Amino acid sequence: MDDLDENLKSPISNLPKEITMFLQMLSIEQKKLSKRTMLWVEIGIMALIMVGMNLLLYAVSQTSLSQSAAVEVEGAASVTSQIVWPGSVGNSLGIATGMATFLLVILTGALTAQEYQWNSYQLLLSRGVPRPVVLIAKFLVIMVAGLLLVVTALLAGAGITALFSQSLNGAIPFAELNWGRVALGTLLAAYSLLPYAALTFLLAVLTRSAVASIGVGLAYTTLIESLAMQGLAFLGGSWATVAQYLPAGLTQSLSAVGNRVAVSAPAADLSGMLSPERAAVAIALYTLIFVGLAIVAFRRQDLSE
Amino acid sequence: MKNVVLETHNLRKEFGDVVAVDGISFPVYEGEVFGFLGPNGSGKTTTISMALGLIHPTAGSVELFGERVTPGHTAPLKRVGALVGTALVPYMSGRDNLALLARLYAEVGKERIEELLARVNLTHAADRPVKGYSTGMKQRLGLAAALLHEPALLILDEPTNGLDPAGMAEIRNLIRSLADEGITVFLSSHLLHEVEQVCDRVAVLKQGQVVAQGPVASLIGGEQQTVVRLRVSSPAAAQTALQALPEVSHIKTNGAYVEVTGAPSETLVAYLVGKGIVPGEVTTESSDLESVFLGLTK
Repeated sequence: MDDLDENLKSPISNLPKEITMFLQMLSIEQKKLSKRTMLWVEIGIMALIMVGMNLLLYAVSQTSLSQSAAVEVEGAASVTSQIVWPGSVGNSLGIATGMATFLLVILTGALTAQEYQWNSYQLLLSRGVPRPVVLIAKFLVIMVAGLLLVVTALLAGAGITALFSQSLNGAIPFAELNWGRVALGTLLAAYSLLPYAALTFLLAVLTRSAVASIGVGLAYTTLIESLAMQGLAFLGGSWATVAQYLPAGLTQSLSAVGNRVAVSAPAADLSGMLSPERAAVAIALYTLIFVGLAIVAFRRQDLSE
Repeated sequence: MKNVVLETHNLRKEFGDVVAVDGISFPVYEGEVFGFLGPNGSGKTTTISMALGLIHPTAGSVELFGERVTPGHTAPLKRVGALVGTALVPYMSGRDNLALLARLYAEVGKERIEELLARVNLTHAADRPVKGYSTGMKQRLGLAAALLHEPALLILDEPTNGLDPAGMAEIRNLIRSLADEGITVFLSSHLLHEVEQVCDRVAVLKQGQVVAQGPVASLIGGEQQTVVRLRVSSPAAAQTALQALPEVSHIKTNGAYVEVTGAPSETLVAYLVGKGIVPGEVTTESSDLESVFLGLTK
């Protein structure tokens, strides 16, 4: 109840009616998300994975260092560079993109489809909230959830590897990180999740089933897309160019830029990839198309018990 | 002449080959408690869902406060409070559910939420997640949610589902008191006793069509709805004979008795005597809404 007064008395009533209602819906969706246990479980999972993976890499590097062969020392140095700053921060963003995709697909399917089972869309629609407003507010909150997952991965990865940096190098090299690039990399990682979230969102609206939307969303993310990427790359020529436009290809383009967080990082090697600007536009188009289709479908649906 | 708050015009809904609502028209006037009666599957919830912009009508229209409502235009619903099923967020508490909806209304504050929780007798369970509520508790919370913004029209679909007799009486009293406060109430129910006690006018639905509508008193009153019970030596012969009377609307045998509606007892007795059948006993029984309903929806 502590936040009730503050939220209820928010000074948004002077804005135009449509904007007021949209902000009210955003506030409702934000509250629903923050009360959802699944979000906090996923954030916990993300943090555990980042800590666990880095601990594993640390163990590997320490084991290799204990060997005498020169080649193993070289390998250990390579591993060590990934678990100390600044390399570990960029590495965390790379891992975050992959893991957050799975977690966000699951969260999106559950958040969107379960409301059909609970009739909670009816709760809002029967109060005169336009259907597009309900869905747009929900998707915006899902975008925030994606950002939260990436930030969690970054904080957990950077946090544990800061300890490794102190332990292995005797200091945490704050000056070696370009903090502006860290912020940009975080935003790009979250942004690259959008096509997957939007696709799952569309599937959830079309099927009204959490199981179906999450199942198909995960199947696309883990299997269908990678098979398509490999197949198109194998065919070569213009087919390989098509692969660059699949969400995974777009993510690669953005990651190549976004994961360069060190001050001394060399320019991104974008050979065989789209330019980041094109990738960003393509991601926006995917997202707009999938969310737009979801809104069209939602507007046509009969929502009875 | 009272203002029309809700009106349907030849409203129709088909789900594939199934006609759920078949061209129904009725008005609901300001300040009245309007009963919407019908057996399960007669189209009550579908009609309400169309009125709330949740379902696209196949044909016809619904107007609220003189403005047409469709799933694409739901602005008039801001003045409506609705209880349809148990539409709530299950992982949040009862109090949080109301606080969530209160975000849509700048004028609704914490005091209003507490007042409503007390009014529906849920203060003690307000901090428990809704998924642990009984059906009756969910109904009461849904009613509180419907009343949150002090709507001009309250649409209630089976509000006493899952309630015990005391809870049902509470809801009946609440509905009456809301009507006394000037709120128009549209009450859908298959509980005829409930409707008879609280409603001013009713519409009776059968297989998607309105088969009767009007004030409760006129539906259950009058010769048409009085049952005349006649004890005769040969009920089957009496039934056959009485079927020839044009004013008889319903006739059935019940053991040694013939039960007739639609004609006064004097007419029936004179007619049977004329046919050589002398009733040994004649009683009349004024009908209630239940008998009217059963007669209409049979």
